[in-house]
Amino acid sequence: MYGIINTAVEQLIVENYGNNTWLEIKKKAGVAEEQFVNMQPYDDKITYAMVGAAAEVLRLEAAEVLEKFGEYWILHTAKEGYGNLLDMGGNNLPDFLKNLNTLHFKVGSLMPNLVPPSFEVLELTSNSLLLVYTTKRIGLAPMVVGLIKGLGIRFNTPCNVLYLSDSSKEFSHHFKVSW
Amino acid sequence: MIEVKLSNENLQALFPFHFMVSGNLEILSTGRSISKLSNMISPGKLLSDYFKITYNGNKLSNAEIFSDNNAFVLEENINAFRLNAQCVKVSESVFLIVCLPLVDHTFNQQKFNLTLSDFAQYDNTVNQLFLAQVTKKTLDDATSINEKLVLKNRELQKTKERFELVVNSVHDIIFQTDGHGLWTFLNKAWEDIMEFSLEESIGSMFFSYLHPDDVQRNQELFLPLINREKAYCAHQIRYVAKSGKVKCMKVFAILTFDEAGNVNGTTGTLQDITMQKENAEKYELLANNVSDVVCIYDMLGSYVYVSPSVKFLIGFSAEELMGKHVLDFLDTKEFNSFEQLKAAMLDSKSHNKVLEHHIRTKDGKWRIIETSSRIIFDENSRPVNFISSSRLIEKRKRAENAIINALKDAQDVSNLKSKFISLVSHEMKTPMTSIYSGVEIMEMKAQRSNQIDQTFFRQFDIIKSEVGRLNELVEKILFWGKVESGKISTAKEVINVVDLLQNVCAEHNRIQADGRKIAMRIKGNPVLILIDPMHLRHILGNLMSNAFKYSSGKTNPELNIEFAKKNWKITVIDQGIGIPESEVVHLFQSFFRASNVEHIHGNGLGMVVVKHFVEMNDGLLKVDSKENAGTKISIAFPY
Repeated sequence: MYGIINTAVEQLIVENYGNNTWLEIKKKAGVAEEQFVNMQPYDDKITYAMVGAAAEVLRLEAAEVLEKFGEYWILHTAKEGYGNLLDMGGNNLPDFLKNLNTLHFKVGSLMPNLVPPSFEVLELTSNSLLLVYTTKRIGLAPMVVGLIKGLGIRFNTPCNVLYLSDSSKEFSHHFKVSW
Repeated sequence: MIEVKLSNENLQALFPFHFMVSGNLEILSTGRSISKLSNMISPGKLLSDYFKITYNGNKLSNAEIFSDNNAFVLEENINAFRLNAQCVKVSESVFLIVCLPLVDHTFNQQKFNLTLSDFAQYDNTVNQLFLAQVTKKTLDDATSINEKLVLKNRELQKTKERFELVVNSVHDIIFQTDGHGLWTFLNKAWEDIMEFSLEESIGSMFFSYLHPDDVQRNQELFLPLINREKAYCAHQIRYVAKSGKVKCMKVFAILTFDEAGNVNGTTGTLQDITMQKENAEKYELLANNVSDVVCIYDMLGSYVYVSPSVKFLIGFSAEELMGKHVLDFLDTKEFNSFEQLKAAMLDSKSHNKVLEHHIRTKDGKWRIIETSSRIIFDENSRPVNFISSSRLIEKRKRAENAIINALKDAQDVSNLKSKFISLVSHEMKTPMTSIYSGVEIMEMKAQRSNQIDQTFFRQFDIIKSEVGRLNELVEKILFWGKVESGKISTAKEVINVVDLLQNVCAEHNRIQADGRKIAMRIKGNPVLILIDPMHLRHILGNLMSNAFKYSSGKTNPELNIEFAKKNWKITVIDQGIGIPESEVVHLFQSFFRASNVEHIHGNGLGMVVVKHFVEMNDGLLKVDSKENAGTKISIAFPY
């Protein structure tokens, strides 16, 4: 994962639970870095350890932490740092979801070590679609739920996200998004 | 000019920004994203109606637009957005103008709501937009990190300055050596104590500053540390200052290690204890020859010197206590008083402070000792040592406890006695009242009957007189009981004592059967006096009564009142039977009566009450008496 993801996790914790909680989580996760550099790739283990430690310290399920993070990512980190890129994604929720692959493709050309997920959209009705999320990373599906909900807030389109896959160990995850 | 053929579907996908124009620049159709830039553009109009068509700022003719050199810029007349353009000949009369939005400050994808869907998938414009955004963000991050770094550096500098300030302001030497024993760091205290400058000392061997006789010993003391048998070494060693003065140092050192864990030097402190050692030696001779245990401590409370007599006190030898902390031998409950004592000594600077406390013996028992302590100061009035002198006080404490217990017992007995007297006296008063009333009734009946012998009346008088005397005794006992139990309080008033004393005298003069009168004299100028008038009346009444009673047939008793500078005094003098010399000391004991007054009524309580009242009014009573010559009682009161 690039440092920007870890920085976002840090900001989420600091803003919502304070710096001391972050230091406790960081210590528990065994993170030695004083500061993450956004454009530097880090081992995925660090991110997973931080999420695990955050869940333990905040007494939440890891899935809850990931969902919160997904929402935070859209509404704060991506918006503040890469607002114009986000704007390029689309002007409404379904357009944005349709452009997700292109967006990751473009970002990938700038971040050579990026291992992006892939997204396919199948329109179901005029106000619902099926999102197929494929990744080599395990257990991040709850984050996608948070990301979609964050997008719903961004485009002022309240939405329901239904996770349809049976196992979090699958590479492809299906979400029904309706608004 | 390139001639190509494209399907309409591919055209829209590959070139969302394009114009299909005729040979006179009439717009035949537009790409799907052109309408986002301006909804005015519509087929049938000329391209030049909406755009300035230029190359390097020069307006192009139609021929130039369609010529081989066909790259140019389209600048929209109303919104001023600009497109890079290139003309492609589709057929003889149809030309395709392929456009890319120019990525510069005039381009704002937000303004025209352009999204990825509006561009071709591999559009160079989008790539440049992403690159610009990511580059900007990366630069922002770098700036932010740099700012944080600058702040951290400033904090680091401040911390360093504070550290240097602390290091250079401590009185102890702080040192570092490398693995060869060369000084690599010394604080300012080194210059103050050793008189060598830091410049000439850093880089020199530390042992070259040791006292020559201590070099070998120093190596031996450091050996366990170097062999890692001990985590630190702490010992005393002599150094020699630049002026040749011998400095006794308390050394504390630990090893330092490099990242690989290899020893790369030492670090620690040198505490100058020369003054402490001199003090210790100064007191040693004295201390070795006294039975008290004399101890000298450093300012933290560690023993620097202990006199040998400590062995008899607590079983530890002086050597065993050296370097140990005094609190190791005290009861934890008494730590607080020890710390208070230390603070009080530092506060008062010179005064001896005495503390009674427990101390642990070698066999784990506790003994009570009394320790008087004070602080030793150097020539700059800085505290350098505590010195204390301790002694066992167990015998004394036992004696004190015995006295306290005895006093308590006496108090208990006294209380019991007071209660008993009070009880008995009250029990006597009732029957005496009955006897007296009975006698009066009998006397009254006898007076009405002419047959009663006159001797009866004499017996009635005797009974009444004796009952009266008994009653008076009971009253006095009751009164004394009140005095003794503290139930009589003092109520001082400012009064004219001459008037009061004259009244008392007049009362006594009136009742004397032999007609004698008190000879009263006043010396000095009478002033108003603050005193309890009831007490004064009682005092003088008793003294007058005694003076008349014990000088029957003699001259008039005298009362002298003197107002002196510092006090005022009353003196009562009679020429009576006096008091045997050996018995004067018992005069103020309850119920005491002198051996020469058996035939004179009395109860032995009058003078006891007098003395008590005199003392309650801060007075001083003095008795001068000689048997068969008379008695002189003087009382002096302060103003």
